Amino acid sequence: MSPKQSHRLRANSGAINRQKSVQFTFDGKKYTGFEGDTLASALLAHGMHLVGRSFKYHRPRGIFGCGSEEPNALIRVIHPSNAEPNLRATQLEIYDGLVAESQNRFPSLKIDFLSVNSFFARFFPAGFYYKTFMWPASLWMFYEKFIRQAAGLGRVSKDHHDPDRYEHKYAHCDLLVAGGGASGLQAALVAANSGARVIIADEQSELGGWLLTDNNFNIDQKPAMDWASNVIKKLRSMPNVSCLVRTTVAASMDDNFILMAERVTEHLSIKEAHLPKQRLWKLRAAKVILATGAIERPLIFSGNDLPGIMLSSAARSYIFRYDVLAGTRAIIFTNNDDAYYTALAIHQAGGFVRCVVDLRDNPKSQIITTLRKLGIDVRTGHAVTAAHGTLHVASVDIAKYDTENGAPTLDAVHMDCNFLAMSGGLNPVVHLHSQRKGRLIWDDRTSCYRPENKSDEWVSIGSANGTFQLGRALSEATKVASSVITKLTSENKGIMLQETIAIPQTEENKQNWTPLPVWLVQSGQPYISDKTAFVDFQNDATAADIKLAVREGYHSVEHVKRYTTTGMATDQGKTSNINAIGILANTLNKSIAETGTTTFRPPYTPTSIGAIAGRNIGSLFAPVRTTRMHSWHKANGATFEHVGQWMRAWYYPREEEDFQQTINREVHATRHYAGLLDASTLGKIDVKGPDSAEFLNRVYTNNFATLPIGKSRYGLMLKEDGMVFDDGVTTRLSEDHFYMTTTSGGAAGVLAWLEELLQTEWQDLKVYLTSVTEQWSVASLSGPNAKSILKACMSEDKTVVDDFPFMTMKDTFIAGIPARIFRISFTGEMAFEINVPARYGLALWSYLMRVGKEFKLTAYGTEAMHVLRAEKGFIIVGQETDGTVTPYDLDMHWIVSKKKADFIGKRALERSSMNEPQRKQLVGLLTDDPNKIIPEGAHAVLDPDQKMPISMLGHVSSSYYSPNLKHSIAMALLKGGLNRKGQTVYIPMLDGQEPIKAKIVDPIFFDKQGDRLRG
Amino acid sequence: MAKISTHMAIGNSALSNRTLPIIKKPESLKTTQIELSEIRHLGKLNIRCASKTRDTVGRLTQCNLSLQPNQSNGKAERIALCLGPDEYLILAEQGSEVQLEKTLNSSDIIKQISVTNVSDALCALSLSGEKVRDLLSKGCAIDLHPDSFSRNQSAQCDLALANVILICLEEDEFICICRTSFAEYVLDWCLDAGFEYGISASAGSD
Repeated sequence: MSPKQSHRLRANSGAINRQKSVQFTFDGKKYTGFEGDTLASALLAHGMHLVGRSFKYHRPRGIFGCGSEEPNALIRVIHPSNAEPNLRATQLEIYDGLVAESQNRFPSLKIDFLSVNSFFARFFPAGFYYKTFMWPASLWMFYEKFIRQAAGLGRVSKDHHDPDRYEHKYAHCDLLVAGGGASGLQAALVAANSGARVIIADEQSELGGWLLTDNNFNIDQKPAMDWASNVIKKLRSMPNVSCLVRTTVAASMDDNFILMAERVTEHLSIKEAHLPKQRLWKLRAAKVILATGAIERPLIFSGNDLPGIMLSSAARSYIFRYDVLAGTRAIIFTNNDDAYYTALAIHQAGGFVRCVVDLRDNPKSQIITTLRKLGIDVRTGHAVTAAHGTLHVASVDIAKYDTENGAPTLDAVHMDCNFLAMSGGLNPVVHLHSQRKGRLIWDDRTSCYRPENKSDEWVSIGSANGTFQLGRALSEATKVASSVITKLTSENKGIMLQETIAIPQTEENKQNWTPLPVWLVQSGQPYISDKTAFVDFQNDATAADIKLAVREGYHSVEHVKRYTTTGMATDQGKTSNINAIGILANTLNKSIAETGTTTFRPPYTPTSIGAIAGRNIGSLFAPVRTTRMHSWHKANGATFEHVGQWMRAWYYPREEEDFQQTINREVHATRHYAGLLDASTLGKIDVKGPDSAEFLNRVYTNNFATLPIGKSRYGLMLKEDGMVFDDGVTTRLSEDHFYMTTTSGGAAGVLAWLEELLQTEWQDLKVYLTSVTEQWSVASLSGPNAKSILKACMSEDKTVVDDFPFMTMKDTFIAGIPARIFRISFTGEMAFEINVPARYGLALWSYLMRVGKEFKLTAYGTEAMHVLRAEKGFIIVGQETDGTVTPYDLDMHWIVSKKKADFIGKRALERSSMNEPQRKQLVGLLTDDPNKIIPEGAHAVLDPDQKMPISMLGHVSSSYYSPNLKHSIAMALLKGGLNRKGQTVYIPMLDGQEPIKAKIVDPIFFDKQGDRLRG
Repeated sequence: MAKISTHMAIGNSALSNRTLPIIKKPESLKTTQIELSEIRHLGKLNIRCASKTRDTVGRLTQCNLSLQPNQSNGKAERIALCLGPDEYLILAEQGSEVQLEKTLNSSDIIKQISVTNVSDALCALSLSGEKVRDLLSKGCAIDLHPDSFSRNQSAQCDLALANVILICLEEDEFICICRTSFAEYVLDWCLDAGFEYGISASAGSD
């Protein structure tokens, strides 16, 4: 049997479904609530306030608010396969089977060992970490372990596994209305009736906002919620409107780019697999209306954080919306009229209002008279100077209070109670406005920061704009929405403002919305009381902390925020910021307007990483590009490596072969017989147009203007800074048609760069570029037997192969497939790159392998390709270069034309520093021990025994074992390397082993004359 | 040596590595609401030409090229898209692109234009069904509302992490063109995103 809902009222407001009980577990104990309850309301129905321990002092904390403003009630939800920390109990809707637990306590909520922290509070002042762990600096590594242990709020699952599905959705609309309260609904209705595409989003489980709580007045002669229900029904029926609930408008960014986090299935006990738990909306809204409402401020006094103390508005919401009376012997503490309605609600719900304590001296309002007539003790000009209790508020001190001097004038009266509801006035929710760098203006009349409505893109209305009175808010919503639509009409077709728009008429109580700004209630001994007067409940920042920060010289609001951590918790100071600024202003003897405010940052409430990642996880984390031969590689046991987005065959291990053995076999086969590489990933660009030759002449360092038709040339492309950008072979197919190849990873960047040049710098050149990377499949056939294999494959004139000079191209047929064959080589062997239309790629590959069998043809992967090219000293852009390497550094002076008038990078190359002899230059390294392979990226030094810091000579860019030389080989970029050939360098090892000794040599290790390559 | 048999060579599928059809749907749904298939029988020509040669190109290819960027026209097997101020993509019935290429290459204006056969470089997927816009909106940032993206409109945009060209044929019928190397990624992404609505992916016919 689960315990009785002792605090549930008989009265049925209709917001919760009494017909449907819901079973849930909190801290291991079973409870029952109703459908429509939040975890907070269901716990309060059982009289439970204590739900957590505070962050720093581990003080007992209770439910404080009723929505996203909640600073205390952060709980952890346990799912079958993971757990989620730091969820607000006030927003978490209960469902059958929900398992939740409190946080930051050990072993239990009521007995928490770390609550000793609160006894040592005087040792943990603001800036505690900065002051305490400063010296000796060397001990920080020791301290850190313990600090990390104690720090952090909540625990994630141990295995970090999140089985849930999160999705993204892009959306566009004419108008986003953030907030579904009275103002938001009215604005959405006006806009929707004009035909605009409207999205209205609210973080709560239903639209209605504050009307869901306060329904004791009429709109258009109907109870307010009836009016709202009609509007909601109408909006939901309109095809141009989307009504989103459980959707937090989390971030507002430039150009009205909005992020919204929708909780899709979190509130359901059966979560269907095809629906996401959360959906992150990426919205582009032409206009935004912010109707985000207001949040009540607490009052700051000693002990104001005890469980049983909550915001007056929250207490009222629990009564009217959830049928829960949170306390039976209540004290109301206020500086404004609104809390009197909470007193009345408690009284009418059968609670005993012991006393209403009002800071104002002589307030005049109908509601005060009403309460007094009911016999309720109303004490004006008084303050609650302290609250007492251990795990729950048990009594308060009430004293006559001088607000001018900030001190009680008479001794306090002690009064017992089990509940305190407090109200310090309202703060408009200006977060989304402030995120856009919208200015905030201090309004003395309502004692709050209001948004400065100056933007054309977004505007705040209603309570979010400081217009707290309902009638005025509805009138404002109507006018603002009309003017927004008028603006949109001039831009859009199909939107037309209705000719007559009625402003809803309200009948409501007269209420004075001006609170008396008392930011801190002090006892007779403020030095003591300030230390337990909490400003930021979540980060445990007190009034004493703020005063200390000022004494220590922090006067800017931004500095005080960071020094005291006020407003820096997960609630972003929703209930604390303005009070903190008020206390700071008073301490500095400045006005609040002079003190200023901090800027709010997105997101409005914490947004889960899962929602941000969406479905870009697992196999969809990044696109994997495959070639047309991929299935062959897979079927033949290839291991793959990622090259950019491409998945390339890395090596093809046979049974019982390890990595090195495989590479050795593939390299050996290619050097002695023949090898076949899938080179389809090379970037390919068709360059067409009468000025193509001139264009290539400008982008490559060497001469392309004179390249004969049918011939290929290797080219190096620089950026304006003279640094190597890309390389590849380009072939002239006809007078004005060239076929350019680029590196596999650089293809997109090269095309974009060349397009940019044509579109911005050289508009006079008649050149068109088209990417044909995927149009052609490429098999690179290499080795002494390559010619024989190609000959055997030729379907027509086999003599083509005999007369096929190095660096030329032929258009021909292989086994009936139209093929473009290039005699170029990246291995240093006689080689042919066979290009066929991609649809034939797999057929070509399989055919070559079949025919090549008798010539001992072996498929090799990218690793063997690397070894083969390194044996020849061929560079790979991005491996031997890193954006700081010139052709001269690579000892490739021969490729830089001296005759050409200009090319990109020429001017930069002519700077004297480019020929500075101590630049890092490409050399080869041969290790003393032929079997020691230097790790790539390792640094080379001249003297391994020198004192720290060791002066570096340069780094190793490529390193392999060469089976042909039976020796480890490496390439390195070393300072002044070209003049160091013959010298010895040392490569210190990270693991502390003996440095590797190596000799600086020429980077061409194999077939220096290139006889094999030319055949 | 024998020639490669015709049937091995002719299939121009970017998804030949995959066994299709694949159906993904929630248990609660009886049928799928989105159909995906590869349109294998399309030739594709990329054409670059300035406005003065545009009408001639149009005449020679039997396409109306008086289009603004991101517009398309034609249907079924001869669709012309304007990708940019001087760039067009023509989707043509299988094999006819070779003839079109020849016609253009032998025309007087060939020196002023550029014609590139990209039939094998691009993969065309047909996406249709009532929920197709919902599916696309999970990964595509453009405004897919029927008022903003309707028949004969096209866009070069991202679909999740791949570049694609989207063509709207009818309210609930689209062609999605991607590079063939991204075809499997796009397929997998669509299957995942379409799970909510039920999606069936088939190989399409030659």
